[in-house]
Amino acid sequence: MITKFTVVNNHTGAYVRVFSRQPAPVTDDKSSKAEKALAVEVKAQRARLSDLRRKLRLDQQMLNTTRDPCPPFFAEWLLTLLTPTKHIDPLLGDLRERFDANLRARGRKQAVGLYWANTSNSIGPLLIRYLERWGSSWLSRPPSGGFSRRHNGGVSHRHTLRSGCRSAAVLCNSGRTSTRLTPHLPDPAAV
Amino acid sequence: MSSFADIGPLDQQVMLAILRLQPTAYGISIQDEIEQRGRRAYSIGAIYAALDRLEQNGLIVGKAGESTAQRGGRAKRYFTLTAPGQATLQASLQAIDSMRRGIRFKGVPA
Repeated sequence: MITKFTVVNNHTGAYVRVFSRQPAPVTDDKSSKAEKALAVEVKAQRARLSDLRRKLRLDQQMLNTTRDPCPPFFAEWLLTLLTPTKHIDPLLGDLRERFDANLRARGRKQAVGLYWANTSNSIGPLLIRYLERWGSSWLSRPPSGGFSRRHNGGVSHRHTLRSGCRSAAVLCNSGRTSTRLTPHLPDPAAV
Repeated sequence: MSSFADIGPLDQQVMLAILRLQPTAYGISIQDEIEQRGRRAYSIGAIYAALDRLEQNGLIVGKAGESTAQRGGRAKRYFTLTAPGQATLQASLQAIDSMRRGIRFKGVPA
């Protein structure tokens, strides 16, 4: 007896026909080998059918979702905190590419889980790199006796002297007094 | 410019993967190349940390690529090795070769 199944993929429109034979009742010992082979074939076709049904269900899930499936926002935000600015777009784009591939192959739930796994694996190396960058920028600061525009509140030394400021405290726009500025200033009495 | 002593095994693998894939080497393709050939699975964060370090040292250079809908409208960044990068990688690999020369491992066929 031959049974015909037709599986139609709603998403792509393609259809697959699967023919399944049910073994005839055992009447002769000679045909047992052929029946075993037939049983194996039927089992393989049933497995194929269940695989097709699973894919069909995933496609229908994707079609039924009203909004565009997006990766978890909090994971993206965490990565944004630790990644250098020029690498944020490429890194999030790469993870999104993986997310899309996983979404098609495994469904939304597993895709989100794998996105979180990728994020948690990435946080360690990115944090170490962040600290390296921070450390190198901290070490490359001007020495403590230096006199940079930043320490002077954005106002250059020459400009403040020309404008007639006589107190070291006035040099800082923020109002803080800096003992480091004092040795560089001329004596107010001499001016 | 940094010396070859500054680059580690991950940096070497990333630079070799870029050499194989350039001019279309970007994060995912570099990660896949290392996984297939090097049989090591690094996270995408580790790959980007290495890329950032190498780019800061002037060993590789990045260029913004196209953005696709599949990537959520985010652009790719393609990497290529610079001339100092190639020299550094070659010197690093030569140093390992010279260290390894003449060493025989017990129980492992040559």
